[in-house]
Amino acid sequence: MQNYWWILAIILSLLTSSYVYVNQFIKVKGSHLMVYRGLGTAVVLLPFAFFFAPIHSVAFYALCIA
Amino acid sequence: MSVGENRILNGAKTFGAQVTSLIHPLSIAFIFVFWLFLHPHELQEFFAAPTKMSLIFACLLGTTLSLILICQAKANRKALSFLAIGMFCEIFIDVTNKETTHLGAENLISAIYYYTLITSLVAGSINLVAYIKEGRNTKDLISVKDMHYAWFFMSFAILHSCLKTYTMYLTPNPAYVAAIVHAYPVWIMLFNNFNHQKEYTKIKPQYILLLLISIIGLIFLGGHHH
Repeated sequence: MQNYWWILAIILSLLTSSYVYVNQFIKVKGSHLMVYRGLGTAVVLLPFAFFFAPIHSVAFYALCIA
Repeated sequence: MSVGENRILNGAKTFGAQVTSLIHPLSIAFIFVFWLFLHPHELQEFFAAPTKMSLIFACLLGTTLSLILICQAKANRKALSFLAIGMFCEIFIDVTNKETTHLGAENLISAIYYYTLITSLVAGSINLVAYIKEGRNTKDLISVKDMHYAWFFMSFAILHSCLKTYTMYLTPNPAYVAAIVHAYPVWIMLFNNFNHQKEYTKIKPQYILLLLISIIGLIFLGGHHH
């Protein structure tokens, strides 16, 4: 799998283009979009925190917060 | 992340989309150099194979150049200095995204989950504070029309962040992923051209050829060396 990062990168690129393309029609305000993408995503993900073992590196959390 | 997003959004409003279109292509080579600067042993590997390094750098510059020409991105000095912070944030995001996969390699699935959760929480909170500070009405955030589509943006954000973090874990250098992902406006333009949409923009085939050769070159030369 390690040599096939480029397949995932191409999927990511197409996924991003479809997202931008769809938003051309929906036209949600950029400032709203950033709040939904951030806080909305966090609210959806937060209840699943019990299923994932914490990472023991403090630097990991520091970089995530930065 | 939120500072970068705000810069791009405000930059587009102030200077136009042609200016903000420069941020992603220009950040590619800087991501490559910044990653090597943080990992000197990888730099030594590249110096041991100068031909390969030159070819990879040529491919990265080819991607940058073709994206700038296709998107017709341009900026004056004033706009560039304003957007320099946005570009630095983009570089920082991609480099730290890959770095977190190394730090969380003990449990990659958990690392991907916590990266998505924490970055979303922090970026969303800062963006909410900025939204309130600008004196905007928070009731507008829960407008029926926008909430109707909120699920789409949240699903995209989760899928995009998880997939990107895993791709960053696999790639030898985050610049390779950035070079491919940042080509997304080209696929939209090609799709619009194919369907003769209103936003129809004529793209010179030689630019597309340069982009494809550069990306294929990166894929072949990139390989894997954890």
